[in-house]
Amino acid sequence: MGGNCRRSGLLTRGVTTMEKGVFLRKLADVLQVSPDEINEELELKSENWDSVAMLATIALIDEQFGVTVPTNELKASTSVGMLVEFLQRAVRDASSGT
Amino acid sequence: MVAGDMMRIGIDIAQIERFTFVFRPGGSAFYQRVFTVAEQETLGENVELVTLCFTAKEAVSKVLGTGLSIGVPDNVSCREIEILCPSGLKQPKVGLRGRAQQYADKLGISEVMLRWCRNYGFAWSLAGGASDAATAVDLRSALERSLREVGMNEAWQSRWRQ
Repeated sequence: MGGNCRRSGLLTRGVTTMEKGVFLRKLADVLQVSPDEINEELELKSENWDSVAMLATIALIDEQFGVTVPTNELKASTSVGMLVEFLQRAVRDASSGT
Repeated sequence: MVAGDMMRIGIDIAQIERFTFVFRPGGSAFYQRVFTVAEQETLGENVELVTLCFTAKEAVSKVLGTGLSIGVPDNVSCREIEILCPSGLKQPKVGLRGRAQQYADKLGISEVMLRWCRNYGFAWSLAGGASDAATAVDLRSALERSLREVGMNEAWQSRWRQ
């Protein structure tokens, strides 16, 4: 996966708790749920996890972390928790250049 | 049409309500990366136009057989398909750049046209690609008939600014 993600940065790092909070608040807008409703157990179903949501999530990740991820790699996420795990791997891999 | 002429069609539909997120903090990145600066000047904060413009890009990407992406090398980026309305919203124009133009060239598409409408809370776009001027005339006519088939008429269009 990491080979397909790109990040401009020198330090190997993950996603901090604060960064994750900012990401989830914005993801709530994309999924059209209230910030109170979003948590890692929230399922990503066809009703909210459509092509628009995936593109918007790719845009969020690019904006906040400077990492480019392909749509087909996001599709595998079936919950917000899986998406966050994917994000953490993508950021870590991209910053380490793997 | 005669042998050798070629046309390709793409269609997309989206619920306008789905795009209200674009004007919330979580939608800003999408707006900036999907729409060109020139498109943003036309769209402003009009959610109907934003939805139409997105469906138009999707429909054109289907004509090209590519889909849309953001920042992925070798894929067609959302901003490489530009939808502008220099002659008013009734007559949207499609501009292709970079890889979008390369795919069109590879397919032998010389003209890309677009018709769009909104109805019952949905935005619809029909795009067509033609290999030559004569085919383009046939295709334009077919697109307009198709839009009428989905229940559109001039009444809604007259409510839009020109």
